[in-house]
Amino acid sequence: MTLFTMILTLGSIFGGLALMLWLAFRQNANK
Amino acid sequence: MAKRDFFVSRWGFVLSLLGIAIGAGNIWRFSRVVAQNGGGSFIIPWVIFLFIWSIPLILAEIAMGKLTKKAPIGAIVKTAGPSFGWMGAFIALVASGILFYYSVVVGWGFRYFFYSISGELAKTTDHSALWHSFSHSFQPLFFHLASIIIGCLIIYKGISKGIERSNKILVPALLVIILVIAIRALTLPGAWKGISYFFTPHLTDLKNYRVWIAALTQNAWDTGAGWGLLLVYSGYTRQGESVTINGCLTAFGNNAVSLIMGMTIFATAFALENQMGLQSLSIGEGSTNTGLTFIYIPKLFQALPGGEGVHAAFAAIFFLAFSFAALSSMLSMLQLTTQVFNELGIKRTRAILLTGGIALLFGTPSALSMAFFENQDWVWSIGLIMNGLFIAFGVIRYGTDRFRREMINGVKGDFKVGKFYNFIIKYAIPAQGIFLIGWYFYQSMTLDAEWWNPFHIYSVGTIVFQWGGALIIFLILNKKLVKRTLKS
Repeated sequence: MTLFTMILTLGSIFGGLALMLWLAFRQNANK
Repeated sequence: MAKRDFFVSRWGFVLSLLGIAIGAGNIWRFSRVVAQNGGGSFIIPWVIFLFIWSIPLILAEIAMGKLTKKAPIGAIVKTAGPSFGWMGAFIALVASGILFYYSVVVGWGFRYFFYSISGELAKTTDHSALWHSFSHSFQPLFFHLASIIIGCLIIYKGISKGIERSNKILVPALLVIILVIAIRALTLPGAWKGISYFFTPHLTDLKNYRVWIAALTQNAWDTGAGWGLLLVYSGYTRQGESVTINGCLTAFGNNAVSLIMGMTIFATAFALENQMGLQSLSIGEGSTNTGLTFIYIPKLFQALPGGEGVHAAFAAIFFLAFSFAALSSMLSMLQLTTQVFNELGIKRTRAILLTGGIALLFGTPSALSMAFFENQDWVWSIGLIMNGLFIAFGVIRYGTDRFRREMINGVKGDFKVGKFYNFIIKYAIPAQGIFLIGWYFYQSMTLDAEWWNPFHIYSVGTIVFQWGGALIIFLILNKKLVKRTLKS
């Protein structure tokens, strides 16, 4: 359960952050 | 008319948004609330409320700022209509009310940084006594003044040369410091025990509604959503600037910092104090937040392997990070208040001086009395939830679906937000906000026999007295406020 919560939490927050950074760089490159 | 200043770069703008969101709450409140609410059991609802309170309101604020290019009064008038200027004035008052005591917190951070580099903090054997002798002296007033002067000087330089440049230094420096402290904490023997507690949920706690309330409250207070601050900065962006990507970057970035700080503090507390660490984190000493930051954490640093030099170095970089986080948030509050005065017809330089003067004056009681500080924190923190409701009201009055299509989804290259956003703004945000305010009023009524007494720190009476007085004045002056703001 600990590992599951860890993956869920870190995945959603840091995964979300990484995805947004990637989208932001892509958006900047396309401007 | 003076030429409008703008954020020069996208990353400068995003770092400034992060500067607003990442504040003292990530450092001094998050870990304590996690400890009090069962570790991993708190983390799950905390992530859920990020998506149904914080992110929708962050997007609403950024889009509203871009649409109206005004401070809260003008923003609410342009979305909800001229009859509701008083709502915008209330949003501004709450942010200003927080500024008055938040500048005191920035000052505390500065003082403890100096305590650290002078070696006094590493040498002391009684951190509680050190905190009490400092907080009950006139020193906080001096550091409060220093924080306001620094803040006003930055605001005076303008958006691109003041706010953007400062945040380009403060926020990356803060992130580097946090990572350095985190690496040290996570490599301590026994750190895993703390991490394990931090991420282990318990079904009994998950069934406890108080854990869910604490998670929603943390989101309402810590992510910068609904304060009106993101709205002000967003008014200084160019037409094609992103809404959804920048908004989500702010939300995830803020919560990532909370997680790193939480893991750092839990790892250190469990590694150095074992099970006692949890107790210390939950109970704290002194006022709950200040106890963790100014009494318990310096004690933990003293227990780190290494000599006095190591203890002093870690304490110094921790309080530097704390000061940077608090200062970057304070800048946005100063900018908001200054802009409101400016839009009411006061010239910019005078508006900055007026804001600084008022902050110094109204912050003085908080600098000299912890009871006053706690009362202001209670009154205006609950006010923040009301701010969130007013911002959602502005979006609803403008037309939620139109707002979503034109303002949130209107930027080329941004990801698009679906229709579920309409439901969240129309129903989920009002339901959460009204419930939270009702809950805190109920709590106060059950815990304080004289809940109606306006002179009790945590009473309903003190909120009604302070909010009510302001709202009556704003309602009477509504027409004037609206006329002047729209004229600017």
